[in-house]
Amino acid sequence: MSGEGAAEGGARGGWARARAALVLAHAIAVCLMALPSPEGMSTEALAGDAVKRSALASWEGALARAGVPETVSHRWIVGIAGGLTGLDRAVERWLAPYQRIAGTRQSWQMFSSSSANGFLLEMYVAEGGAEGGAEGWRLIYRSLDSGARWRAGLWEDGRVRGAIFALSSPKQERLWRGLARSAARRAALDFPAAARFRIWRVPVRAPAPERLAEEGRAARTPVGAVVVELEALRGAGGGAGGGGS
Amino acid sequence: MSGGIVSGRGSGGIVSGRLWRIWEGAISEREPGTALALVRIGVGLAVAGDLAVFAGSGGMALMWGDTRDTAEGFRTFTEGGLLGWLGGAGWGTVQGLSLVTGLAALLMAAGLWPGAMAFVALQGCIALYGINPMAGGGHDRVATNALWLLCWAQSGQTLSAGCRWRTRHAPGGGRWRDDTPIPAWPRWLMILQLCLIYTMTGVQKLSPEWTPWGGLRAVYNMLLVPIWARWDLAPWLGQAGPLLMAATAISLLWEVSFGAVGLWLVRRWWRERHGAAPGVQGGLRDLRTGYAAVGALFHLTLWGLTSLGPFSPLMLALYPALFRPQDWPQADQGMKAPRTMS
Repeated sequence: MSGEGAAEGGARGGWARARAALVLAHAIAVCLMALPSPEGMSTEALAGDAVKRSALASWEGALARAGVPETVSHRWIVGIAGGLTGLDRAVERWLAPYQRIAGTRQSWQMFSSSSANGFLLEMYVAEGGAEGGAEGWRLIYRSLDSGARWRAGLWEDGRVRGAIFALSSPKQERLWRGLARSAARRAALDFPAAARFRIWRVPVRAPAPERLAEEGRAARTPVGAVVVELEALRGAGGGAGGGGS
Repeated sequence: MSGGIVSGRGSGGIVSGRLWRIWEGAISEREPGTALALVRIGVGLAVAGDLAVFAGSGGMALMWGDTRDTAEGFRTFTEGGLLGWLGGAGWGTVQGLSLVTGLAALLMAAGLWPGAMAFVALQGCIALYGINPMAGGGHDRVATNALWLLCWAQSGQTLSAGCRWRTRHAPGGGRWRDDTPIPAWPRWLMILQLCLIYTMTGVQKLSPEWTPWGGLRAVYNMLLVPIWARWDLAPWLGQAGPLLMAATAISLLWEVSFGAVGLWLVRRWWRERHGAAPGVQGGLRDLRTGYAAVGALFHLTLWGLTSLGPFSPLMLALYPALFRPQDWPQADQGMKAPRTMS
């Protein structure tokens, strides 16, 4: 082999080694980043989270039936969760730049909880200056209701649904009102005679399958009600936020 | 790493560990690029289609529009990353970036400068998905991880406009197909990614609804509670209780154990090159086809019955990575795997 050829072969060998190292680094990084990070399993966090407490209790109950005392299983579960969370934070610290630039974030907590609790999104307009009594409101949109489909394509878009679900948290009250005003601006355009717009969520709970026929989705009192005066929005050319109540 | 079409070359370098030599040889392997081309086409169409659907529904203006710029938004956003560099998350900038990202994804799908277009689409997606994480989810990470691998995959070698252009002077005119081998390691990293997604999402399904002592009601709840359900199935779900319990158990077991597909593929690869490991007897039952069939059914059902954004099309777009061209029933006999495969 000539000197030039040997140099070329050496360069190729160097690249092959570098490439193998980089691929290995990527594979290790994504495996580490994908480890679960069960945050919120500390004793303090559990005290304020009924859903997690209930999930934890169900596992402790199952382990107790298998002969593991609840105090022991509690220590195991919280200990493993704490260890994984600590590892995740360390990995995050080191690999954040790689995640940010290459889009390699690994968080696969999808449908980890499939709760029986949910809500129907409902929107109404009141026309003709009627006061806000039950008889004055006309339903224009309700989740899964084939008779009330105002801008259903928007509210039922997968990304929009995800955001509306996130906004149902009490911590997101301010943003929920922002969404209500944005929906009201659209209603002001689509229902020129309407004076007010109302949006709320009707909590529902799935009964056991054998009771579904008689109970349906057990609807409860609406929450997150926001009423917006549409005239104010029209006066501001549709661009200003309306008054919520 | 697969196929035995073009064998890897030994390192002969300064690193002398046997495992390292095997790894380096594996990373040097090449194979026809059909699988990665199909992934490229699927991911490109899924990313561009998602942006088009999101814009068309009005969701983009609602979720990514800043109220300081557009009356259709609902909140303000802080600016950083690429959008900060472009002058902020103004609605005009967001629309422009969405257009560029969607076009890059389409050009990538068509196979025109696929590596560069994957990088443009990736950076656009990272910036756009980061505007309002409330409107995102696991599907966004599926897209960006796949785009990152497609940046390096040489996936335009075949089934691409680039291939057609490159072979335009060949006898008979331009061809859509070119079986010139490309590096196999990006396909293996996609398989690793698939295994991580499914296994990790499975092991984190710890809420009681996924367990026998919680009644295995997760799928029933998902279809009945109107957060994700696309249709009102309440009139039928009551009678389908046992079926939905089975679906819950099967989908959880399938997800948790999906890593077995990756292990099976590695084992097959090892057998093709090194023979059976000492003490290992018996043939290799193809786990992959069964898992892929269940996965396809699972994703098509989710797609039809729930509204989860681009999750199902993106995941299905990665499935071709599980199959080498020579694994397909109609594969050219000349591309069949070595005889060591059982």
